[in-house]
Amino acid sequence: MTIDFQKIIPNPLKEFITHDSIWNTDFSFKSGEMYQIIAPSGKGKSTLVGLLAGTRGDFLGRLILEGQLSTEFSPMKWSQWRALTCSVVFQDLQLFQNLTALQNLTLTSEINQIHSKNQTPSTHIQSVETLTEWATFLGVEAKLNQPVALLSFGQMQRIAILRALNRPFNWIVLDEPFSHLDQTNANIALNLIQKVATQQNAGIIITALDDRYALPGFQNVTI
Amino acid sequence: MKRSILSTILYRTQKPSQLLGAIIGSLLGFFLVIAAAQLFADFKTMVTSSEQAIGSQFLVVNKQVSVLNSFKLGKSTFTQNEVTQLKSLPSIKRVGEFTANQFEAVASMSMPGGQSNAVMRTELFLESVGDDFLDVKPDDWKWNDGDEMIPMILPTDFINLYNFNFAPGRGLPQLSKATIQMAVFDIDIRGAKGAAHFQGRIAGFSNRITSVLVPKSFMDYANSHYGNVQSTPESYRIIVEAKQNELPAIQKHFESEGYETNQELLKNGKFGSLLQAILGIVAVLGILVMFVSVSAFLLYVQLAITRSKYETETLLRQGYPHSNIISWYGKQLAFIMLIIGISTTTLLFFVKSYTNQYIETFGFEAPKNLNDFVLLGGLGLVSLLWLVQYIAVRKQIYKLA
Repeated sequence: MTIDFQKIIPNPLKEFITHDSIWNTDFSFKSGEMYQIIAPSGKGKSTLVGLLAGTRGDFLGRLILEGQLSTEFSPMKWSQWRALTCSVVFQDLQLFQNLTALQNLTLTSEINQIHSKNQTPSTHIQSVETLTEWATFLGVEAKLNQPVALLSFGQMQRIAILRALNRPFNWIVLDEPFSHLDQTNANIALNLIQKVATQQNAGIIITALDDRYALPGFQNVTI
Repeated sequence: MKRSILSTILYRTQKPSQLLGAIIGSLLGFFLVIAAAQLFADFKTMVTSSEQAIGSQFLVVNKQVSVLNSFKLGKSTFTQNEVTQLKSLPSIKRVGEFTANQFEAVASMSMPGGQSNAVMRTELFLESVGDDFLDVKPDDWKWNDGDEMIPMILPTDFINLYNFNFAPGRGLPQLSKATIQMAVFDIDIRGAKGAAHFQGRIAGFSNRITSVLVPKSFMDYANSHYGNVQSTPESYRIIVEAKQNELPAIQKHFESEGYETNQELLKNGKFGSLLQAILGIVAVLGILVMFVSVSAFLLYVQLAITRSKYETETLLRQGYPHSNIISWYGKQLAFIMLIIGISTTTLLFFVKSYTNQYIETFGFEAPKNLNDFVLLGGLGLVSLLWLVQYIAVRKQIYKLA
């Protein structure tokens, strides 16, 4: 399984493209592999995440998601892509502020049921016990029954990561996921992400501002 | 039932007071439209139901009688040509000819127990016309060859004249319609070809036709067996049914031909047309008001979606399908439309039963129940409104990603 970039130029970056970036060239992400994209602000990290999540289509070139041209995706195909294939942690996390942390986590189960059309749900949807176990691992189990609005940003980041893990995926894309975490907590989170991704044989794509977060075993992608 | 997570997420951003306002606005607009439609339907029933003379579309026509007629120099009958010409007028639905008796007819009634069996006796002038032109259809309104009993229809004016002028002045008892219908009297007819005895009774009373009517079968039989004239008689009077709102055109034609008709009835007819026009205007206003309130409701729905834009987009980005969110909105809207439909119909029902009492004080009788077509139309309208809103929601949700 691959995600192929063919001469893609995002509209906002038209005038700033440099030769050594993945923009305006051919590049492939392979599932099962790990990529980190380290770049300062304004180079298009979030734009890249937007392309993979299907939230933006303002680019030239061809984006081929597991063999299908992204411009040929129907709205339903995008829903399936997001629910079953490509899990994303957005920079602004996109949590429901009024729901509790646990409600945010179990929402993916409801979405999975819609896509499995009431047949057997995916084995990658975790029970509340496993989710609590994971939350304990990340140190946010005490926050599970609180509304997300009351959590600190670092706690929210960990809830968002857990939500992204609680579903089937071939790809997990995380946009500056550890920006509000200390090194220790970032490492714990990364370990969990790698463990779950390995179980699912998925590719990991992580963006970061600078190499403070340089991750061992990850391929560097320049943009 | 457990509230769905979708409701929890999407309702949080809404303001119930605004929703209530939007619902009440639509409710009022919708009420105005179906109330106007119901009024229109009621009025239509009242106009077409023949006992109630407002806006009658039937006219009895005769030719003006001039001094020439008195010397038998002019003719006041309608020729076949003239009848055909009337029938061909676009404003006239149908034409019926009156047949008059061509024999002498005398009604008599003996008063048992009075001074030496006093007998009341009067000459009769009879007419008959096609049954379709009658405003009353008594059950026993028929005469077959060999029947002794002849049913008759009298003008309502007759009994009114008797009850309110004649009887009080003479100290006689007033008679109800039912009493009069019980009386049986003798009818003797005599013509060039012989004489015969029958019995007569009053079968009903007509508002429309000022004449003593007998069944056409009897008139034809009696004219051919006892009549004084051989040929088919020409009619002195004819009755026309005007098409809706065509009375002015007919009146103009009658004037140019020198025909006479009941002016009061014509005025009533015009009044009916005017009332219909006013109701039409009310209906148009109602539709305008509804259009405005529906637009307001549409705006409210758009506002509601915009207000939960973040929540909706977040749902979509987690893989929640557009179609499920749209159908959630569709169900909420259907529920709201159902509330609007049911409460408006209930309101209309109560308002109508109240206004019916009011109308009855004027001597009219409006139908008791809501008109089926109005209900069907209301249902159609509610469904249409739902569809318009659903399409708008669908369009707006698909814009989000």
